[in-house]
Amino acid sequence: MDTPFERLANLDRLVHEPTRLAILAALSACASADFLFLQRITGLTKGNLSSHLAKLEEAGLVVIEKRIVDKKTQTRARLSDAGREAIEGYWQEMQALRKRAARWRPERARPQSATG
Amino acid sequence: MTRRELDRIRLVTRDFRGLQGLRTLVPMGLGFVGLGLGCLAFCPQLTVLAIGYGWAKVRAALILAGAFVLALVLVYLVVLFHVRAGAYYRRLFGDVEERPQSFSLSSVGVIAGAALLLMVIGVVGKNELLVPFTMYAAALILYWLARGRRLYSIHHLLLGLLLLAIAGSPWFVPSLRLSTEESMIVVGLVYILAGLLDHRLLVQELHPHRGAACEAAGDDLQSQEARR
Repeated sequence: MDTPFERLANLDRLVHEPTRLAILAALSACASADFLFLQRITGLTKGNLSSHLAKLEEAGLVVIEKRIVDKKTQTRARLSDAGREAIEGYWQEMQALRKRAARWRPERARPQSATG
Repeated sequence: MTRRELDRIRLVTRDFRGLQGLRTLVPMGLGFVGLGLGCLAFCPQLTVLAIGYGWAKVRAALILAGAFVLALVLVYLVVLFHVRAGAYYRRLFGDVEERPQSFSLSSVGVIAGAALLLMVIGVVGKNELLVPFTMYAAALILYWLARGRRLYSIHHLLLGLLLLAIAGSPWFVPSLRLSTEESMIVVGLVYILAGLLDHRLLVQELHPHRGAACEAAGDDLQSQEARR
């Protein structure tokens, strides 16, 4: 059976990466959010946020919509159904891992059997 | 990225509109304070209008007409404050479309039941202040419940309890009995305080320079990945 640490290493890196996890956590708590809010809540620069959103959109986890509001382009992001499933699955996985890690004890070294 | 940091992100996003104190609770509080001050200043004229005669009656009617115009101006200013504050928050922090929030009906039932009981106690105990104060306190406590009874929103619970304590105080210290106008001012001040605390929380959490650590952590992880 895998140790909790092996399972931790097998987590979806697209979601598990801290900045993308912060974006997904914010989007999971609302219907949609605009670019400025995501920038403020995560503390990311415009370029960095754009790049992470593009990766998430490419993976089909986030839907990006651009609208013209008062002659300005407003970018809004929301989680896709797949994105919502992915983040909910991630929380469940993390909770299960936390429980397993609390129970986990290192295996004792097995005594070597006498040979010959 | 710690669990606490993720919780912060989720809570602030979920309650983004509710935390906009300058848009909600502060204008409401200003309205109460304005009404209370207006009543303190102008309500004696109602008596003059009712029992006065001659020029005094005309003067009271004119003053009350002026007070009515002032009340309309106050409503206009409160609405303007609400709209301007909304634009300010959008410009500074962006916009969030909220998800419908699930609300524990049992908690609402308990609060409504307790509020009704307090109102009955107020009527029976001849403490007329307890009835409106219970309503305003219940609104604050429900606000706290709606946010999942979190510690960061505890000021709503405490201010709600403070209103109840003020309303109940004449039973213990009779000199603390407030008039209706004074009680309006007190409720208004408490609402303004709650709104300012919400605003402070939002500004602290969404400050432009906040979260640099988060970005640094992300960059660090990316560079580690690149090195591998």
